[in-house]
Amino acid sequence: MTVTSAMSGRVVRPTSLEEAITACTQRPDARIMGGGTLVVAERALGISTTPAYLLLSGIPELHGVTPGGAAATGGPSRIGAQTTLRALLDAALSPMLDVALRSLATPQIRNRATVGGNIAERRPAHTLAPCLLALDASVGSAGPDGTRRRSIRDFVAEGLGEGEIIVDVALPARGGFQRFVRVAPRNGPGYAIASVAVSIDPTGRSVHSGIGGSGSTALPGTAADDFLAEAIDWASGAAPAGAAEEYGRLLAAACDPPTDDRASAGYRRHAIAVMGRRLIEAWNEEQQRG
Amino acid sequence: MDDERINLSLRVNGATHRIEDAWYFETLLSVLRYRLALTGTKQACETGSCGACTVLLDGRPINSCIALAADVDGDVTTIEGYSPADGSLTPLQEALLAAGDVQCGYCLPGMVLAGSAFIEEHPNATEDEVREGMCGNLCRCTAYLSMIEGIREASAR
Ligand SMILES: Cc1cc2nc3c(=O)[nH]c(=O)nc-3n(C[C@H](O)[C@H](O)[C@H](O)COP(=O)(O)OP(=O)(O)OC[C@H]3O[C@@H](n4cnc5c(N)ncnc54)[C@H](O)[C@@H]3O)c2cc1C
Ligand code: FES
Ligand code: FES
Repeated sequence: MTVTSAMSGRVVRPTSLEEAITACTQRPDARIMGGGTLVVAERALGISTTPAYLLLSGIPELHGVTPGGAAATGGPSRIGAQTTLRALLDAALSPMLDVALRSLATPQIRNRATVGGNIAERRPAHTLAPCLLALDASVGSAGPDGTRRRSIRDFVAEGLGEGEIIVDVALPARGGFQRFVRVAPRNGPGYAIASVAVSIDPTGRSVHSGIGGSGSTALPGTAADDFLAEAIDWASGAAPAGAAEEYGRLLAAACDPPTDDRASAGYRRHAIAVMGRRLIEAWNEEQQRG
Repeated sequence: MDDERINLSLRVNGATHRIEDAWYFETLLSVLRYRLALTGTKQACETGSCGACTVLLDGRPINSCIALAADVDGDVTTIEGYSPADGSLTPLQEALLAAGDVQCGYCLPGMVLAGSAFIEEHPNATEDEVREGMCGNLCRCTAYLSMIEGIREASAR
């Protein structure tokens, strides 16, 4: 391995989080770069002409996955912000993430793109945030005012402050049903038009979901989740007739989808309702099969 | 103006190259093609969509068009470094040739490099595995069936 010697006023490569935060304040016009798959593509497209880059690749504490323990008893898994999507896929933390990551961009991009870069701007089409909502994740960050850890719900609602860097994502141990589904222009990988991620954990008796592509950020399906957690008979592991339909309806009601060149708001809302219903039907079937 | 230029060092095909006066925003693709004259790496969409610019970084395929040269840390392999120096072909290249039907060939360096990493990890790959694993490489001449066949065949060798 060789390290590129590219230090200059316009390319800053700190080697610790502390240095990075200082660099952010000293060079507020620099764009933070995780893997650069979005930042560099935007430069090529003429969307961004940032005068400087702040590379996060040289900060060891931002790299890598530390798997947590078993559901219910174990501690959370920690995913450093600089973890590549490929490394996250290889870590096999959750069947939901497996499907979502395989639908995300291409193997080439996943070898370079990072978890921090995927969620930082809270773009509604980005694949990970709906899954992280469904997995009840939290986001750790550091900035000029110190460090903080927030639920992913708060993170998608509030975003990052000035000069704030994502440090890691923590996933609590969750068992049971975990699925991600989407509608997209093609079956192969790429941005979804709309997506739903749901996790139903019988041990913790909780339901969490995330909706992609159907608002200004990824959205939590809170009302639908609360409804279902109430409706499920956890002892027998069954949901009453009509619960799946109602779940889908409540998810769709939580959306504020755009109409754009890919689909209308009405299409997206309908797709969310159908995906939500089918996911709960699939869970029901799984319960019955035992 | 001056501070828009940087010096960097890159390890490509086993040799270390010192690049003087690169643009701070320059991509790996640009350095490979226009500063190191390694034009086997193709330039097409320049936005990470097509895979023509695929190179290996520490053995794994990446899109050189969306990798900032200043942020490349590791061993880069281009098609020039992958192909045997004596002009012979690797088993993967032979299998692709035998499967036939490659047309303009513009996608081929990227296909070969992505394919070489794919078959390393997927011995005896199924067609579905090849389709999924090679989804980052587009062929504008749509020679997909022969590519898939060639890579599948090579994975069985
Ligand atoms: C062809 C193509 C297809 C794609 N398909 C998909 C897809 O299907 N789904 C999807 O979700 N995305 C997709 N993307 C977008 C992008 O590749 C991914 O979202 C990727 O995860 C971004 O990560 P990165 O590390 O490359 O981000 P970068 O480009 O490095 O950064 C992206 C943004 O995040 C900020 N940032 C990065 N890391 C941090 C941090 N630790 N703290 C604070 N801010 C940070 C940067 O400043 C920048 O604003 C695609 C991109 C391309 C080019
Ligand atoms: S030229 Fe890089 S992916 Fe198309
Ligand atoms: S053979 Fe022409 S692009 Fe693939």
